[in-house]
Amino acid sequence: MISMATVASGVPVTESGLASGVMDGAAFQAFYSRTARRLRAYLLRSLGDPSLADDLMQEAYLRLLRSGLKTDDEDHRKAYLFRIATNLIRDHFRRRRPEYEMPPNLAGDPGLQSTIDSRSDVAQAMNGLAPRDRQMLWLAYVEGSSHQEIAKALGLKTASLKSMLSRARHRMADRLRGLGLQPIERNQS
Amino acid sequence: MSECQYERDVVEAAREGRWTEALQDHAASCLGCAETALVVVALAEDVDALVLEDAPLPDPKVIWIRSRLKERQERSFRATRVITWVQRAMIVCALAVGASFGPGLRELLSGLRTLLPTAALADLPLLISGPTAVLGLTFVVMALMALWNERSAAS
Repeated sequence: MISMATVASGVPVTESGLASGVMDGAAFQAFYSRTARRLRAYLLRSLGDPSLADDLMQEAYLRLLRSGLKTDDEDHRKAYLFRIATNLIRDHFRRRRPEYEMPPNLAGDPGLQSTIDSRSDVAQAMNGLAPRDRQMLWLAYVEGSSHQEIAKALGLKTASLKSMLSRARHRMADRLRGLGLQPIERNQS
Repeated sequence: MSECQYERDVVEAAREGRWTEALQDHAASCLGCAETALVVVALAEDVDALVLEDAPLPDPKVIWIRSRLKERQERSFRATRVITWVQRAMIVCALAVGASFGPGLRELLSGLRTLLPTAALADLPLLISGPTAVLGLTFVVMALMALWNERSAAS
């Protein structure tokens, strides 16, 4: 049975830790500190709005906790968290615009534009893509998700994902080249 | 569009920043892989910058507490749902029993109509306190109370 104690942080913890596969307070806090910044980066680049990204990030963790997911596999839990976040992004764009496939018309929306994080060229290039393209690229090339995982998260057919990803990558590369970026070697060893 | 056989290796190399000379030569000559490398490197640089950024994160304690509260709310909702159903069943029973006394009540009312012009007002309490009238009124009151309870539970 769970015996509740409270650590200095104020989050209740159990002595059992992750034995049941369900996170307690301390395990959640540790998981959060390992994954939150990457999740926020994903949400930020997919949504283009920092405060909305923070809201959806909290909602994603809340849903993860409420899901009662029982696993000790950190990768599985993280993949599940990103899938929840992907669904939240999809729901957000569906609620906002029925034409989810189309890239947002940022030029015509000064309110949104003012909240866009355009510090980097990547942000600028990403903001010009359709939300689904952004999510696909991020999941495939940043999170290293498999085609199957991405298709499941985005509600697509695995068979069509490869060509969709290829087209998204081409559009992104075009935008990056348009901004003057060329292939570079990163931390070459 | 066919995938280059080195594409996965290029993605890994670009993400990790660990290129072999052969792979680098290939990426320089293959249009698709050059494009992949450009995108992957740009995204990797971007995520590194975002992760290292020291913008404060939302407090995990708040998320944890919210999840506990939500769980408690759901537990309480599940518990009160049974009570709500019992109350609804009570209303139905009360109405059914009340309806079964309908003929008796009708008789009482028609009796009242014939008696009232001639009967003394002093006899009225006796009529109202008749068993049928008492039962009927009791069930009406019970039904009203159950309805009131259900409304206050819902709000």
